[in-house]
Amino acid sequence: MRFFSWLEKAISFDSEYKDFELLEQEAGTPPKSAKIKNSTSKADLNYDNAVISNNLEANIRQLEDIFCSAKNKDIIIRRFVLCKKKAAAALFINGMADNDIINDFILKPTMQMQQVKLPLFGSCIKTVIEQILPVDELSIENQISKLVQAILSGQTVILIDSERDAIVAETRGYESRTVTESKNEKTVLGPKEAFVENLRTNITLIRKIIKTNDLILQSIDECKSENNARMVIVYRETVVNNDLLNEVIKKLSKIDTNRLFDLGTVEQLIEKPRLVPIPRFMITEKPDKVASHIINGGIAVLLEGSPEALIVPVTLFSLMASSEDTYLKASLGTLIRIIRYIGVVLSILLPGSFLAMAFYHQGVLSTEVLITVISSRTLVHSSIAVELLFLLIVFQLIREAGMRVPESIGQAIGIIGGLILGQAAVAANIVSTTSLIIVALSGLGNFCVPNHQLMLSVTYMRVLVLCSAWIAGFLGISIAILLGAAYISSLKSFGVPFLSPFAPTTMRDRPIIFRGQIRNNSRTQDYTNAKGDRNV
Amino acid sequence: MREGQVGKIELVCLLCLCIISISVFGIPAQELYSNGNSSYISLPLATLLAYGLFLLLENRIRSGGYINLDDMLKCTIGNFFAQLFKVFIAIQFIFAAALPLIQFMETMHSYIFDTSYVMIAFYITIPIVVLPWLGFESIARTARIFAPLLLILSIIMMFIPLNSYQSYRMYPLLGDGVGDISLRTSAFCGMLFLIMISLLYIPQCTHGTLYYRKAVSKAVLISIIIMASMEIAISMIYTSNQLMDIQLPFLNLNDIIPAETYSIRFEKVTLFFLISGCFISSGFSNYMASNLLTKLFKQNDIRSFAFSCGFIASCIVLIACITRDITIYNEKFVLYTRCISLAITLLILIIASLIKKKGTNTEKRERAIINE
Repeated sequence: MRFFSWLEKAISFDSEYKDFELLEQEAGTPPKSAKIKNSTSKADLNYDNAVISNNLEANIRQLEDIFCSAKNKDIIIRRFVLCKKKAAAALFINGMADNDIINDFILKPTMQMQQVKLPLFGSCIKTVIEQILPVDELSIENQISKLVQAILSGQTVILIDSERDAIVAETRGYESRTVTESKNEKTVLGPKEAFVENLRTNITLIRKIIKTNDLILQSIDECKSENNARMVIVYRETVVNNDLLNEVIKKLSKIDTNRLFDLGTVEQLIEKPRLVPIPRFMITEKPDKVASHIINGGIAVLLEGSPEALIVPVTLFSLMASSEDTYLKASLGTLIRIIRYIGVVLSILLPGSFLAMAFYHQGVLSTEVLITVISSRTLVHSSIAVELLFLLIVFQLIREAGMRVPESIGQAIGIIGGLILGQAAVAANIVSTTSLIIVALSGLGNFCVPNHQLMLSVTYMRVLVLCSAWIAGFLGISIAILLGAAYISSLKSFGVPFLSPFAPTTMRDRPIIFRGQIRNNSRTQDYTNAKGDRNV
Repeated sequence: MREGQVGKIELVCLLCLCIISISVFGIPAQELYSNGNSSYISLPLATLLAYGLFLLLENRIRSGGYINLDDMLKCTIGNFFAQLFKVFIAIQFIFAAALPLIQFMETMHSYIFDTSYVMIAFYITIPIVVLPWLGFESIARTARIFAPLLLILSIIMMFIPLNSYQSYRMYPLLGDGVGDISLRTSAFCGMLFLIMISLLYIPQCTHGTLYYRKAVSKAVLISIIIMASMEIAISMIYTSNQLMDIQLPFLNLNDIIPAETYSIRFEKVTLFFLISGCFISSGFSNYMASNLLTKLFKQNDIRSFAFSCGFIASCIVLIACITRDITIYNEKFVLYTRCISLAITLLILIIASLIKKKGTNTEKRERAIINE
């Protein structure tokens, strides 16, 4: 009987689901672009333009409703009597605000202070701020939305009975990671500090390097996200190009998304065209790199919770530069840069060129080299193109595995992948030694790229060139390179051509790959048309 | 229209690539060296002549206060003839896009790809079509990237067979005489003149005609030095009789060096580097043809014309390769066609220059301001 009932269920179309299925229970599948609204969203409560009343209890009730304090147990509403005269309440989120500051500098003075006389008539807010609260940063607000934002960001809101304003005290003190050494952008010389998830700390790290009065930290309040992420842009007022600044602000203000946790999302939301695999922004975790760009007229975007900064505009050459380049003398710096560019060229062209020579143009190779290649492939049964593609995929697998696992295991994976797996694959005649060397060299070249996103783009281009070589040999490679170069030269990063200052040529007396001497001058990047003294 | 604006260095690189691609690689050896090798005289002479004509035309446009070449033609010979001339120029550009690739396609078919011509034609269609899609700015910047590399490569290619250069191979010094040189110079001049006047149609992309003239002057100087060096190198390696049987002799400069001297045979790889320069030249010619036709038909998007013109250019390359032994691509036919094209172009431009401009003084002033 069970079997028949199961069969009947299986073949019938109108059987009801007993398991929980979210989409089936809803009225209809929401459209892709629709925003998911929940019961506590801003739109439902409609407090955007509301202001607080002079009734303390009514204000507390309203804020309780907004924060669903019946369910949200981390919303603390601490009632107290101000100077033993007026009822008041402090509202904050447990964990976001520093309890010691609240206890010692808000509750203690307000409850214990007796010698201060509150005015009998009129507002007592000014007296409280000036004579009672020993907190360094205080402000007065009356809009509910701003008070909500303040509480959510870790500040403490003090409501006083019969007052139409509230006091917002700076009590942010949530736990965050301490500043540590950069793990993803390693340098031998130069600062080692890296950004953390705390926006204030990140700003301090930049301010520590650029000690100028024209360093501006502008908050982008128009940027909308369901998680109310705080975003700031950092630039130098006297240097930055105003058109560039306006464009950045305009694009960031257009962001309206349901979640904004990282700068990668910001980058994807503001870049156009979006399918380009080449980065036109620089995401870095090193404050010295950010400071270097800001000094030259660049703009950095910082986001609360993201341990990186987004720099605009960038060029291919700035992405290829490492922060330690300036620590080296001109000759050594040039040498390092040349090696880096050779690495990129090898990484992109080597597998494709080898495939083209072995597959189409054997005549290009001398007899000795040809014999070596042939003898290494005698017992390998797969095609050389498949072999190279397979090895490239294996190489990426090892890299991904090495990145995801803990550091200690990562090294072991590198050894297993590089040595044991490679040797075993050669012994088993799955791949030839020549192909293994080619892919290994190409991979090494890829690691020379200082920027992670550019490194991935190089990998992408390498596969494209390999496929082009597979289809049409050297002709395919030359077409792929030509079109790749043409496409890259058509790209722009916030109006700055991606290949400047080389194509178009600007700043002619400052070499890009061949690094010049560092002299006493005050130049700024001329391709951003920054306002500083350029001496060009 | 995907025009944009380009600087002087990009313009110089682009023009150099176009002039050298069309002159050195665009002319079949049978045509260039049929009556003795005198190309090292005729090609620089043709470039100089084209430059002289260009200067006269540019000066006329500037002094007349015209916005561009099209404006000059419209104001003088009328809208209808101006549009007709545009079509004529566009057709020439399509041929100019095909010319440098014919030699390369034949060489590739002979030595490397033993497949049909159609397959190679398909491959070469891709860059010819895609480059105009990316726009003029992108083409010029790509030229800026590739031109220095190709120059270094050419110098290396000329440097390797240094010990094999023999001056006696240059004889007879004037080929088949002055008449022959004049005919060739006129024929080559037509193609080079076309390239030089191309951007007079869109001077706003080159920061005005004056700026463009400076770029052309530099490009002509550099091109003459490079092309004369290349042709002299060819002449000192092969005699004119030998050159009649060699496709792209510049690529085969190192053939006289014993095999197995180098681990990689240089000339087979250089073929694919040099073809990049020709792709840029063809892409630019195709862009110009598409631009003119797009404006003629009052369209805003160049891409459909870029595809059509690129496809036609590839078909011309294919037909030229398949029927190379038949009349359509024989030497005299090509030479005289080019001379006639140049004559027609010059005739129209001379008439246009002589006719007094129509339009009020206000219009003239406005045009002059835009032009500056």
